[in-house]
Amino acid sequence: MARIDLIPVPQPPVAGSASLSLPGAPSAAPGALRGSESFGDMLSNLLSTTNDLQIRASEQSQALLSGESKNIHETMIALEKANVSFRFLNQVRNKALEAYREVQRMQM
Amino acid sequence: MDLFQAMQISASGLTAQRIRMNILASNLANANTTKTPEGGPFRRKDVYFQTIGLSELSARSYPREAGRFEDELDRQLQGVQVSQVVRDARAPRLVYDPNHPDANKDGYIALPNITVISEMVSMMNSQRSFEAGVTAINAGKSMVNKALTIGR
Amino acid sequence: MSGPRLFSDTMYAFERSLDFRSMRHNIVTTNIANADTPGFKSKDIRFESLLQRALDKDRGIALARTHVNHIEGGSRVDILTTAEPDIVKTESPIASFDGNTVSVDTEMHKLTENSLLYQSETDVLARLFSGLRYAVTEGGSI
Repeated sequence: MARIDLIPVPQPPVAGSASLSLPGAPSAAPGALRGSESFGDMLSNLLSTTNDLQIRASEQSQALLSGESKNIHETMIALEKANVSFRFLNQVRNKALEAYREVQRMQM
Repeated sequence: MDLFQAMQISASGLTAQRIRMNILASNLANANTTKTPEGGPFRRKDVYFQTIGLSELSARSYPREAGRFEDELDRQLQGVQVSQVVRDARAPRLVYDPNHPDANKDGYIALPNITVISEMVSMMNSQRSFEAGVTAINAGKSMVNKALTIGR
Repeated sequence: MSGPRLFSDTMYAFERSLDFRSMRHNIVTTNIANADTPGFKSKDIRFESLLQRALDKDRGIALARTHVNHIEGGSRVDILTTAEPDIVKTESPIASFDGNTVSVDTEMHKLTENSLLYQSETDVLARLFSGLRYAVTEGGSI
């Protein structure tokens, strides 16, 4: 029976709450909307998330071009996340605009 | 995490096995060669393999800020190279054959220390390693192609 | 940061699995290339238990613990992001005179299995994204 040994990997210093070191990781906070959170807050959070994802997608693509990273799936995933997030943002904007116009019509 | 590293590693394996195969084929072809241009019978050759680090495999540098684990993993990734080709240092095999044109004054000819079966087994072994390397490259290619379908 | 989370833990787990499988592919090709290198020890990485721990269905976001050391802390995302796979090395050869512990047959099996699982997982992830894309564009239409 072959003997199998663990190769020791030097442990990084305890990072505490540096758990989101991977930029692509989803936010660890619970996703439930709290009752007091306004639509505006949600929208601005979504905007900032979308922006972060777009930046990351751009960085990944550049890294691929320059040869710094050849991790294809990582790049593809980053692109797709940015894409989906942006579409979602767009939909939210469209619905909000629609709702606003609806309200406008009611006032006539 | 980069599948292209794996292809470089596999490619180094293919090169090493190819060199080995050539040496073995030469041994086999010369199993009975009693005279060479340098004088004396053919001397069997052997190849020795040795690992080669990623940084030597390609000119590309590997900047690592990703964290300790990726560093350790990169250290474990190694290709292979032929470190040396060694000539058999043993005395040649003497066989009594007075009618042979290369026979010495006592009627003996000097033959290389080559066993056909042994060389052929080594060749089969080398071929299997070569094919394994080809399969590895193809697997890597399939994986990269599949990764490209994310988002379609 | 609160707000709607588009991408589920499961999707992230698939992402990480793809990362780990790439690493394993690299290690296995190293073993195969060095199948005839004297003294070379075969290596592998183990990450399945890491993924299992992360996707344990009892793992909620906030755990009520009766004892501090009872359950490994952290959400799924934390584990997936920070936990590291084990690198293992096979020290003693089954049958070898030069100390090499690579078994080409075993490595070929690992190669094939890993490659197929990578491709399957990519496919699943692509479908999850595709479903999500549909949901955020067409799905909202009345």
